[in-house]
Amino acid sequence: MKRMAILLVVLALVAAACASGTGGDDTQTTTTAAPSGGGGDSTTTAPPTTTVPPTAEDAGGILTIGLFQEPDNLNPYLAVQTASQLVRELVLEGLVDADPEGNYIPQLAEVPSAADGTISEDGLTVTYKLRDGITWSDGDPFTSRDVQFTWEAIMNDANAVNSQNGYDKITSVTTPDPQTAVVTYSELFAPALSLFSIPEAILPAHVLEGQAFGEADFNRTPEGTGPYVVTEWNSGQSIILDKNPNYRVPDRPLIDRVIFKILPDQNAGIAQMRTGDIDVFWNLDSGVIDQFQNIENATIQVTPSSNIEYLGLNLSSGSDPANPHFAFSDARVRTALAKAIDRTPIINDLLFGLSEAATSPIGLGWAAPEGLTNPAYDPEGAKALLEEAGWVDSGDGIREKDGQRLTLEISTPAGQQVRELTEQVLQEQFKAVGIELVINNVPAATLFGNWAENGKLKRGDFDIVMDTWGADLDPDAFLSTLFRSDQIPNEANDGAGWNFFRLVDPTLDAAIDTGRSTLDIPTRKAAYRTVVERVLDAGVYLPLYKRSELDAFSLGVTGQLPNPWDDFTWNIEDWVISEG
Amino acid sequence: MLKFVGKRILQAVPILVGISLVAFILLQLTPGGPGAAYRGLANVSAEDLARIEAEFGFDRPLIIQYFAWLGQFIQGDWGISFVARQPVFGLIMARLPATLLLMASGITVSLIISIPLGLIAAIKRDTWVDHTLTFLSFVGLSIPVFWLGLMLIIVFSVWLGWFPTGGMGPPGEDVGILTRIWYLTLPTVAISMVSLSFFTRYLRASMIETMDEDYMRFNKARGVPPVRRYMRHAFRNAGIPFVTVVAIHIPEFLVGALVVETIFSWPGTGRLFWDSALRFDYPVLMGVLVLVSLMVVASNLLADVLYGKLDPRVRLD
Repeated sequence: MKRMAILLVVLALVAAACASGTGGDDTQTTTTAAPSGGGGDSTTTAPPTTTVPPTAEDAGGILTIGLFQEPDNLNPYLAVQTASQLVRELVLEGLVDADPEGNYIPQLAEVPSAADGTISEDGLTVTYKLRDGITWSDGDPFTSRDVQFTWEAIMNDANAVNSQNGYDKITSVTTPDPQTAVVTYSELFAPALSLFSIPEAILPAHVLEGQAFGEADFNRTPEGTGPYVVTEWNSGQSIILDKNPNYRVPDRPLIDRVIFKILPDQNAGIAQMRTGDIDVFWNLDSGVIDQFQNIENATIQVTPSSNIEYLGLNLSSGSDPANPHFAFSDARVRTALAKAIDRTPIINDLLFGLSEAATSPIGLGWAAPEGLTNPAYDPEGAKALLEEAGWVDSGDGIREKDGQRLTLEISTPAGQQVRELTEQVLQEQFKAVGIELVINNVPAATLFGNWAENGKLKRGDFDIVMDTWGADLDPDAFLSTLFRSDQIPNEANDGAGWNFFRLVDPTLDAAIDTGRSTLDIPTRKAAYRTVVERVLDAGVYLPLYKRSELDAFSLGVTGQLPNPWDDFTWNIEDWVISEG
Repeated sequence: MLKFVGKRILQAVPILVGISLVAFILLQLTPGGPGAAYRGLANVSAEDLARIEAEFGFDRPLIIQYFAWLGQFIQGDWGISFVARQPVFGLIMARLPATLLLMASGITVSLIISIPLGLIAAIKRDTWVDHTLTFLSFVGLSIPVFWLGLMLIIVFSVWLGWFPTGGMGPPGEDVGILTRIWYLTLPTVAISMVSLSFFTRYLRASMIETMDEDYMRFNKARGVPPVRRYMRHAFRNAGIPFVTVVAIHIPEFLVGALVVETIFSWPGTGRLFWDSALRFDYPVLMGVLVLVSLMVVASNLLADVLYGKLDPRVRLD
């Protein structure tokens, strides 16, 4: 029947959409793991940022930024979409921010430090001195009560915020005076300075108090302390922001009006950059770079992020580390794999030379170890190692040992062009040394699903995974969830943790503990170097390349300063747009 | 008549309940489940997920969740979007006018073009005019909408610059009727291409069938002038099945809107549905699905009623 046929079509589309939702899901994972954005020492192809600070004479104009994702919600503790962060950045601010080099800089408050006593000796008490003269966009003063309220709102279960991680280690936020907020922790929380800040922000107590948190008007038209305020939000079309009249920096922002135009996909972005309907397009897929590269009057800003594309090897067969993997339990096989990979064609041909090779799981920031190199590309060496390990040619070019062929399976979330092409390149490279690589890509939800859903990573149901993950400015959470031995998902812990490599290394565990036991940067840095070296020596994590964020800018836009630790809109108050 | 409509509406209730139950279960069974919107986020721990799921009530048995949803739905509470955290009803209603405008425009244009073409093809049957129209309508039926949409954008927006690439109007400005039509043009062409080809084919076949009837030949022999013969006698009779086909066909425009709205950045329910699917926003998906089901049932009812009204031989009871 006709009507049934139509309903079936609709239901099939739901199913298709859910399956292809993997792409979106992956974007979210990537970008929240490390705040998306910029790149300090980046190989930017953008015009050089103006050395002379722009003046009021350059002010004015309308800037239109294309987003291929509609922000869901501008409340930082409820928003899920990555695009929300970009828009919120214009309105709400955190206590501190991070500059392109990864140093904390003052935003609503001075940066607390051990030197002036605003971080107590035991690291359990952090005192924020709020900056003077800051008001909300509705004219009310910004005070320490706002900081206290923000914490209370996060910890109120009825508010169903996305994460209480870290905030649950706070025992109290007190307000000795309107300009001072004292945050007390129950135990040392090394990334303490990242709380209440990027990618999060302080909420106005006077607006939200007594309101239903989830449904407040604030979530779409927030009162903020940032350079702009939302004047109009037309679902599916655009979000329009105008200057915040109460912004604390005189003569800023320079651009009068910022319009975020909601576009359905990358194709629409390409078309609208060509016609000049948008001045900026956010976050290009690597697959469409060549189409953007030949748009006149536009340039692609490349900003490395801390996200690293890597191959993860499973040391065990199934979820129990006691059952060794048939091939990867031998370190020589893992090293052979590392030697068999040539990153050059991947970077030059698939990524158009806009990314660089990665050598470590931590690619940027103070904790990134310096001077690391990957094992050199050496197919002959790889072959020799495999021979030595007992894997010999079975006659058809693929090696075998005790009747078992050296056939490995690689998995990545389905539907991502660059990754699929990378797998094919690896397939060739592995074949050259006698390893058969079988591609088995699955929906993201199947790969990253939890224990009860039989997620492949959680259950150890894979040989090699290709994935992206990146450390925050503070790498503690990232390193421990990925590599600490108590983070191996298993039946007993209900699948908690993401050590799907099933790496067990007491030295590494101890180094992670050292790293989180102190706030002293040199000690922590040394500890994290040990962690990274142990991981690389184990050969279970093969870094491929640094994922970059690629944003298209029309040549008329200047003043942008790429920042790997924040969104590309982080300094939008200094941007200038020239007409024509 | 009223009795017939009342009976049909009563019959529709179990159908709609059944559809919503199937849709609800299917959505819950998709990989990831209802918490999927949050699961991908690195800063959401297992405890956070459990807390959020309890807050949204996902920890209850499926059937309880369904009846809770149904109970609230009937009272006009369509739930809260997981992602936007806003009432679903409001989200959908904010987008519905855009979709209705696009559909109305598509249906109008399809009819305005297909009726004359269908008539001409039938009257000029087996001439080169008919063959050309037949060929063109087959092309129109075969073109995938997503491809057509992209081609329209590339040719008429990017190359020629005649029409905007998408949206309903320039952001932040009041949109007058002419600007609105300017923005509507390309999406309307994309959404009506298949239907107008189909309508043309159908009307041609229906006209030819009528024109072969004995009373038509008798009319001709009697010397009734051609225009009167075609319009008054043939078209009136051929038009009865045509009207019902058009009414039954209305939901096709909804399906087309899903694709066209996505390509042309049109802020309607189709795009809302697509975005929600990408975001695992189940309450919104449920709301749109039920709304679409309602529209399908309604257009079928409309087709039946129209048929009864137009054709005195058909009695509704």
